[in-house]
Amino acid sequence: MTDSARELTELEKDALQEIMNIGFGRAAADLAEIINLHVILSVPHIAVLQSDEVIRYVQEEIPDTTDMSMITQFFSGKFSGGSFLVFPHGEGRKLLKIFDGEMSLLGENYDIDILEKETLVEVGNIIIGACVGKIAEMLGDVVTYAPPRFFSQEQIYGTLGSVLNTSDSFAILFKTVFNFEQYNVSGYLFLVSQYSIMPWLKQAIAEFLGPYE
Amino acid sequence: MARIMIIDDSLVARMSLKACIPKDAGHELKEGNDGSVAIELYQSFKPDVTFMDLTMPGMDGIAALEAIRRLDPAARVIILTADIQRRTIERVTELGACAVVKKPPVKEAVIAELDKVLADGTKP
Repeated sequence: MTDSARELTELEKDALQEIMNIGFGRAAADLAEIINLHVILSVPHIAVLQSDEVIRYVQEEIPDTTDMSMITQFFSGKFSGGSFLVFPHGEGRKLLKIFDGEMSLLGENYDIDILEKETLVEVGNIIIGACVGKIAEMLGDVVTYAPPRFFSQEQIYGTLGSVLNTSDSFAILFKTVFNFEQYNVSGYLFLVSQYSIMPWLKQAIAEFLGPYE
Repeated sequence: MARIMIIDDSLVARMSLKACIPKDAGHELKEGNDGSVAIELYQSFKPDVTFMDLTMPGMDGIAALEAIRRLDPAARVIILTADIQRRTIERVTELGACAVVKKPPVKEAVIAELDKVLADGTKP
């Protein structure tokens, strides 16, 4: 692969950022309809980094994972990679209302930690599915998903490390910060894709830009 | 012919919107990349219509819409956004946006809203 094929140009980055923006916007609209969740998304950030730089980047964004939980879900297609949704630990209890408006389950013999974890996994699954699916759709692809997995606290960097060490030496990082307005819950969504998708990605971006040039 | 202001942090988004505006109509276009630029440009350029993105770093489109409508309660602002949640659309409509067009812009939708807004002498 030539040097120019290894990098995204500024225009390609800008286009990808706009594609993410549109994809997340559509996903947010779907989420609002499906689970009555109004989502505020930040301007997405995109970078092409070496694997170890991705971990450093995430560490700078979230220096302390003591109180964080993470849901990961891998996806495959022409657009393939992993998604990492990081929430402050304990936010699952607030989000439980999405599925159990009266919080009636709390009065029964359910373990609250398990309920919280299951809620985060389910919310994570819905958000990741909506966001990744819409971005893939914008890029003319369809992806399939592995089941979501839950990691807490000190497991977070170990998991990220093992994922990134087994992927290509470079990774394309997508990040957005989201906020569920009515639940006062914020978190991060990172998508990490392998360097090997770059030729397809460049072609898909060119096709997106085609009608406007 | 109209003066049209385009505010979006994304060069690609500005480019795609410009591609939807008929070139032979003689419109005068100016563009900016965030809400604070929008406010400055609004006062110097005095656009007939503004296309405004919502999600921007720095001052976002909601704050810019509010500020512009405070400066000029008759300002005509079309929101061009990826955030098509019902509550977002309700919010910008309450703040006086003339229309909401979803991204990516489609020529027919842009021209239809532009024609409607420009034909309507009475502002929102």
